[in-house]
Amino acid sequence: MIQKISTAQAAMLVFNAIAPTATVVLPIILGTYLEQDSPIGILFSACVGMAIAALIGSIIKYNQGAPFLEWIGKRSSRWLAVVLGIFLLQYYLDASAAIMREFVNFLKDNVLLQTPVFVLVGTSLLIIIYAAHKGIEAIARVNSILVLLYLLFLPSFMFGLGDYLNVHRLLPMFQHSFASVTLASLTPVAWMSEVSILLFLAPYLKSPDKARRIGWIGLLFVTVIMQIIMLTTLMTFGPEYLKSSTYPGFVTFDIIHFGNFWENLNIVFISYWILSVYMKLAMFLFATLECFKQTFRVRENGPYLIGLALIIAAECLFTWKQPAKLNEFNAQGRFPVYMLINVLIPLSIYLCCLVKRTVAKRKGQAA
Amino acid sequence: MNKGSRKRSRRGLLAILSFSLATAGMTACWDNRELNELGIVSGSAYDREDGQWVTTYQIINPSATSSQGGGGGGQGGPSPPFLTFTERGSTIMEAVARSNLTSTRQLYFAHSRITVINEKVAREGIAQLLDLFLRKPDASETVNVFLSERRAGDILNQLMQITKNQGTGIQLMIQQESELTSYYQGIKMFELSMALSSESHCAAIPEIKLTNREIINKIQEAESTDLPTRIALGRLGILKKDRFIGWMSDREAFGLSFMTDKINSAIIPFTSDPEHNEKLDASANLMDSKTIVRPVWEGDHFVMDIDVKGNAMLLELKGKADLSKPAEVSKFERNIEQNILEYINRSWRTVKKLGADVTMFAPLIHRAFPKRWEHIEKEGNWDTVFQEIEIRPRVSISIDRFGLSSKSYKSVEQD
Repeated sequence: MIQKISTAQAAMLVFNAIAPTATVVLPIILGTYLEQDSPIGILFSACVGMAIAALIGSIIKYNQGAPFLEWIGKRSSRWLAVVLGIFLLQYYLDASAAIMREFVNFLKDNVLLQTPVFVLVGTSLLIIIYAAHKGIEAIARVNSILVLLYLLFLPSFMFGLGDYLNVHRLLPMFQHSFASVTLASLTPVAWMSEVSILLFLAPYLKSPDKARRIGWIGLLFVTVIMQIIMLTTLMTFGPEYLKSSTYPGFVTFDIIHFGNFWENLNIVFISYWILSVYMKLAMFLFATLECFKQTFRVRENGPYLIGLALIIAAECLFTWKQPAKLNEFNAQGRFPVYMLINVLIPLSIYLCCLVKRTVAKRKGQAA
Repeated sequence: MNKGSRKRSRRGLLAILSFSLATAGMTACWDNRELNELGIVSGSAYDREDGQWVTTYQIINPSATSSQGGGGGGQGGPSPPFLTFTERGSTIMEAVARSNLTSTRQLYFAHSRITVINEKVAREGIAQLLDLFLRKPDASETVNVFLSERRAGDILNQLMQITKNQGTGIQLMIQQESELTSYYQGIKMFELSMALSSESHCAAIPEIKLTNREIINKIQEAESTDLPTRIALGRLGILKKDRFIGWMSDREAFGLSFMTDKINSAIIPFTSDPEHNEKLDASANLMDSKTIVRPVWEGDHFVMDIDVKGNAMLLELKGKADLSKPAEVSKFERNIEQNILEYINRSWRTVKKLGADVTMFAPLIHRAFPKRWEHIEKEGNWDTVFQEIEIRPRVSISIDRFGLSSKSYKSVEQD
C-alpha cells in the first residue's frame, strides 16, 4: 500500500526542508549585506518563495499528484523525462552532499572537534538511510513531532535571551538600497526554492490539489522562524558584532540562561537542531531516491538507496572538503543552480502545459 | 516455542540491540573526555612580562569542593578549594599548552566564570585575547571580564570566605553590585566585543583588586573572621579601540550608570537641609530609575537631552522632618535630584577628558540622525564631534515610600 501524508504533515516537511540550514547561516549572510535591515530581506525572499510555491502547487494540481518524471514522460517524450531526471538527480545528490557537509563542518567547528569527518558522515548516513528506508510517512511522523517541539524550544529561547534583547539595535531602518536587499536575498530565495521538493512528495500527498497551500503554510512558518532568529540575533548582538561571527545564530544559544543555575544550554538547542538536520537530510535522500526511481523506472529501494547515499557521502567527503570552496559556491553558485532546477524548469513545464491546454481547447472549439 | 513468544523475544532482542547502538552513539567518539581527566577552569588571568604572555588558570579542586565544611582534603590535611597554574608563552595558546607540562589534567574552559586582565596588557591592546575567546569553541564568551592594576594572576590566588569557588564568588559580587548599588555593571566577554565593535568603539570594564599587598592563599590564613586582604571591586576602566585609556572613580562610574540607563537600584546620600548643613546626612534607596537620552542637533553641535526619572524610598534621616508635609518631601526630592545631577555632570567631565564615548552616544546619534552619522563616518571625525557634544540632564525623583516612620527621630525627640 502506498504511504500517504496529510496536508499538515507535508507543510511541516516543507518547513524542515528549508529551516535547519537557514538557521545556521541566515544571520551572517543577510547581516553582512543588510545589517539591521535584514528582516526586510527575509520578507522579500518570502514573497519570492510564495510565488515559487504557487508555481509548484499549480503543477501538482495540474498532474493530480502523479509521479513528476513519469508524468513528464507521458505528456512529452520518454527521453526528455530521462534527461530531466538526470539533471534533477544531479541536483538532489549535490544539494544533499552540500547540506551534509555544512552539517559536518558545524559539528567539527563546535561540538566534535577531534572526531574524523568520515565518522560523522558515516553515522549521519546510517541514520538517514534508515529513515529514508522506512518511507516518507515515517519521516513525516517523526518530523511532525520535531516541529511541534518548537512550541517548547521557541519560548525557552526567547525567555532565556530576555536580558539581552534591545529593540533599539534594529535602528535605523531602511538604510539599504533595493539593490542591496536583492543581493542579500539571493541565498534565502535559493533556500525558499527548496519548496520544489514537493514535486517528489506529490504522489504521497493525501490531497495533492492542496499542494499550493502546503507550500505556502510551510514557507510562512519558515519565514516566521527566520524572522524570529534574525530579530533576536540582531537585538542581542547588534549588526556590527553579528558580521564577525561564523555562526551568530548559535552564539545566541551560548548566552541563553535562566538565573545562575541554567546555563550552557547551547548543547540542548544544538541537539535539537541536529535532529532537524537529520530530518532534512532524510527528506532529501528520499527525494533523490524518488528521482532516481522515476528516471530509470525501477521499483526496488534497497540497493539503490545505499548506492545513492554512498555517492552523497563521497561528494561530501571529497568535493566539498575545503570549507572556503563550499562557502564560495553557497555565495555565488547556489542561486543560479537552484533557480534553474527549482524555478525555471518547473516554470517552463507549467507554461508548456498551459500552451498545450489552450491549443487543445481551441482545437476542440474549432471542431 | 509458539509464534507469539518467538515474536516477543525477537522484539526484546531488537530493543536491546537498539539500546546498545544508542549508547554507542553517546560516547562522543574521538571527543570523549573523562571527568577525572579534566581540570575545570573557573577563572583565568592574563599578564605580560618580558614580551611574553603570562597566563594563570584557576582550577576547581574537586576533592576540596566535595568535602564537608571546606578544606578537608582527605588524609593529607586541608587542601584549597582551587589550584592555580601559571605558564608563559609567546602566544596565549602556547602558554595554555605548556600547562600540560605541569598539570595532570587537561584544562577545560567551558565553565569559566571570570577573566582578569592586567592593566599593562589592556594598555597594549586586547584584540588578541578577544579573538581567542570568540574563536575557540570551548572558550566561554559569557565570562565576566575585569581589569587589575596589579598582577592579574595574584587575584586568582586569593582565597574567599563563604564562597569557596572564587570565580563564582566574584561573579556573584559583580551581579550583586549591579543589582543593589549600580555604580557600574559587569561586562561579559561578548558584551565587551560588542561594545568595542559598536559605533562608539569604547567599553568600560570594572576593576578587581586586593585590599592589601599580602595575598591570602593558604587555608589556615583564611580561617580568621576578618581577612587582612580581601577581593574588592574598584574603579571602572575605560577602553577605546581595544586599548585601556584610563580609570573612572566609582562615583564617576555611578554618573555614567545614570547616563546609560544602567541603574537597577541605588543608595543616594543627600543633604536634608542644605541651607543650614552641607554634610550628607540622609539617604534614599532609588528603587527604580529610567533614563531616556535624545540627541538634538543644534545647528553646529549635538546636545544630548538626558531625562532621568525614578522612585525612591527614604531610608535614613538625621535632621528634623515631618514627612506628612508634602513641602518637606518635595525639598528632599529636589536635594536628591541635585545630587544625581552632580554625579552625571562629574562623570561627563571625566568622559570628555578621556575622549571615550562610553556613554554610547554614537549609536544613539546613528539611530536618530542616520544621514548625519554617515557624514561623520565618512569624515572620520567622531572624536571631534564627541568633544563638542553638550549634555542637558534633567532629573525627576519622587519619594514614594518613607519606611516605617512618618517623622524623623530628631523631630520625635524634640516633640
